[in-house]
Amino acid sequence: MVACSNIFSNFKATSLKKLHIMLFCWLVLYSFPLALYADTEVDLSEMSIEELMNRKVVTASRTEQNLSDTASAVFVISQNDIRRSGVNSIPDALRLVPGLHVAKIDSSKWAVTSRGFNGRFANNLLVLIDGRTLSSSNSAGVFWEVQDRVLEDIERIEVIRGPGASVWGGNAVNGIINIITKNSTDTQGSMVSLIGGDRNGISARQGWQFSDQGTARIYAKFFRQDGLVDKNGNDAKDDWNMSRGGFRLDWSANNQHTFMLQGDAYGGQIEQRLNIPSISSLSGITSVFDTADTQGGNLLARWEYSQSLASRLSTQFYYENFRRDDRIKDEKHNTFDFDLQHEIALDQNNEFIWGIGYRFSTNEFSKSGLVKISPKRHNLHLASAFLQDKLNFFNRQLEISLGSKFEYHSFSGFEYLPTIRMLWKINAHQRVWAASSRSTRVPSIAERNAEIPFAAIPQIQSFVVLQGNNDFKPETVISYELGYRFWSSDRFSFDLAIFYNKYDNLIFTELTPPTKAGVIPLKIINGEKATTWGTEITVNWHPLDWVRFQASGSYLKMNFDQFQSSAFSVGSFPSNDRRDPEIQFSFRSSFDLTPYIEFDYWLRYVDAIPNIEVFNANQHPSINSYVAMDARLGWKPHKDVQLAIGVRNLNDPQHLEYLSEIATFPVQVQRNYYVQATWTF
Amino acid sequence: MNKIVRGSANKLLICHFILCSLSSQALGTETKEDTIKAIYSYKFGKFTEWPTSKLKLNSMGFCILGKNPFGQSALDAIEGKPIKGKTLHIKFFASGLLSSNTLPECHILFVSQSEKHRLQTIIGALHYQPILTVSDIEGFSGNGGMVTLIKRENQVRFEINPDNVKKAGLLMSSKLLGLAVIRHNVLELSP
Repeated sequence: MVACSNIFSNFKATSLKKLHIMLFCWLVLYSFPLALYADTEVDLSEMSIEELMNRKVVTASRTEQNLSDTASAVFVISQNDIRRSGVNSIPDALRLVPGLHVAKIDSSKWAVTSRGFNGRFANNLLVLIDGRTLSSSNSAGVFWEVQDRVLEDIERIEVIRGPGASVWGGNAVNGIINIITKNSTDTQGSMVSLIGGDRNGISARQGWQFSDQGTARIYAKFFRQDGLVDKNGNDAKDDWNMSRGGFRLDWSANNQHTFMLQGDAYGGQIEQRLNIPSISSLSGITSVFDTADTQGGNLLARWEYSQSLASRLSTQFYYENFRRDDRIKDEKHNTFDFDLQHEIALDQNNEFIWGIGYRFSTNEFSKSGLVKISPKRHNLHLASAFLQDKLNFFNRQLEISLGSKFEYHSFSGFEYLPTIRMLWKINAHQRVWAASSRSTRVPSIAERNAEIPFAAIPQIQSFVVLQGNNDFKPETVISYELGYRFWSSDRFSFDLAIFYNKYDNLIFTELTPPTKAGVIPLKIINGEKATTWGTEITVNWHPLDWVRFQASGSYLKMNFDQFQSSAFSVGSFPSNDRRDPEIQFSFRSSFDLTPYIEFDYWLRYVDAIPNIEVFNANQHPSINSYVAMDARLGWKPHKDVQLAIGVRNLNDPQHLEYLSEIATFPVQVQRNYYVQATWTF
Repeated sequence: MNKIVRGSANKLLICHFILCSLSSQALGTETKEDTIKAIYSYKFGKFTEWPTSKLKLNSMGFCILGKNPFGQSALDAIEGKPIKGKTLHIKFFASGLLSSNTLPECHILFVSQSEKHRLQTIIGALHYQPILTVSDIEGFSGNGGMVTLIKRENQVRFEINPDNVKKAGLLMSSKLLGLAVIRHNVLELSP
């Protein structure tokens, strides 16, 4: 309740009254759904076969039921959710997930994390697309601007808040995002999609069957994104464009083996405005216009073999190439990754999974930009193995999973990442789960080998330079989680997750004696502990076949305790404690007004982030809380044609969502209108 | 405060009326596809005879293999329902893994769409086991399965492969076979 009153304290008293009425109405209505809308139909199981044969059926999209048996805080974004939310990028779609903090830094940069420690280079989150890790191999977060697909080809995005390191490995500390694209069997025929508005672009896809058991698709996508604005409403000059193409092949042999091969290639130019520290300017910064060139590609092959009903083997290999060149740094990465996994049902109450993996990456930083990295070339190895056993007790009412990953990384050496998870199936409509895990975040190349001038003091003609430390150890986390789910029929569901995390060895900095004139070195060390706790609540209500509501809220509290305190310790950079909003709230409603017309409305509230730290150490601006409202109207004039118009940030001409921890000029998102047309044939 | 309560009560009444009138409209003769499919699968069981060796347990198992395609109302429509003088219990095998020790507990096995590419393995593992197999995977009955549910226009119909039913040692009523489209295996399958 305290949380609630915080949210609404900004509203005027009159709107508060209205809000009370609405909340009251809402609560009362919520308490009835079972009684009012439970299936009041005749008992179908009493019907004869002939009656069933003549019964008319409707296909209903429904909440994912199998998820109810997952012992973690899981949320799924379906293709339908992506379409109806009107988003045009993967990171924006992630705003649908309760508790995830998604913030736009400029038109091409996002900060995305779960359960704290956000930033442009947030690396507590593991992101995968069809089993390929997107977190860049120098483990400095995800370059969201290059992660894209034809959005219509995404089947679903599974998001787990909380740790998953015991299976997924290092960096799956605070969450896992798993983007799953459609099997090419499901993308047969042609599709062309056009978007217009702040982003103008075209996507095209062609699918076909190449053999009895094999299907394929190819796609191409291009868009140009308009830039955002500065605080005075002037163009921030951060336009960008991206072109990409790719393919996917799926085929099976003997209905026992399945193969998948996919690849993508992309390239784009990204304009950006940077605030670079400078001793020649009085303010200590100069603002420059810059263009980043980026390109990359990947190829992934997977083979799955169902040996018997009780044994399944899958193996996967991928190669990825990434390059980005801008004023901050010029980096090139090549990654080779191999994974093997074997699932075996040992007996009816015991399922065992084991796997091994190896990853090799070359990372090169050629030209010297703002960030200097030495040595310039790093070859990194990551070898891992994991085992997990799922045991069933009491006639499958209680499930316990025990497992651990064992990892060896060039930077962090050997690590063990164990977990225990429990799921209790109280009855057909209720679940309780609990988990405890240990995870680690592997240091990035920058944290060990970079020199980053992050502030300038013109008065003494000196730069404050952040210095990597070869002895920087992995950050570790012990997590405790508890969850509860309830659903009645398909009409109503409730999901609650509570977590408590204990972090150790968090990044911190201390002053070291200067070795050359004009440089004040700040060394990166492991110097802070933290405890965080919070909760995420989601309520789905589907009162009528054509009406859906989803309300969610989250709360995050972080407490820090520096243990490396000496006269020279300075603080964390980027600051550990001022990067995340405490409270977030989202409310979505979807109406199928007629079979051909749909209307969607989405409201989000994101709490303020006070004194967020930015590149220039003299500034500690705050990000105000904001409310964003999106609306979309979709129309299907023909069975193969889909049209939509929509607006984002309807209520607000512009607002600030985030400030990057490095060099980015503060840019605000605007209200914008869009149109979309999709033609399948 | 009174005003607020009165106001909200009015609003609530309006909400209530709208929702109720709309929901009564929605209560037509239409049923959700997943519910119909679940009820069909249960009904098929009523028209099937298992060997006595398979009826030693106190309950009958409705096993779902793979990604559960049924919503809660579909599951509620069949869970605990009587069959062969026993009650039907639903069991999930969500990972698509099923150990041979579990098979004795299953009387009806619903093979989910997610298992499309593992069909051969599943059929191979089940061959000659007295378990009624049902699926909505296209061509299920022609590839070693027993009953396939097919949605045509806005109705759900079914295909049965009597050869596969017989091989498994099950007896199916001729009435049911009379209503079904009969299929035979496309290829002769080796167990």
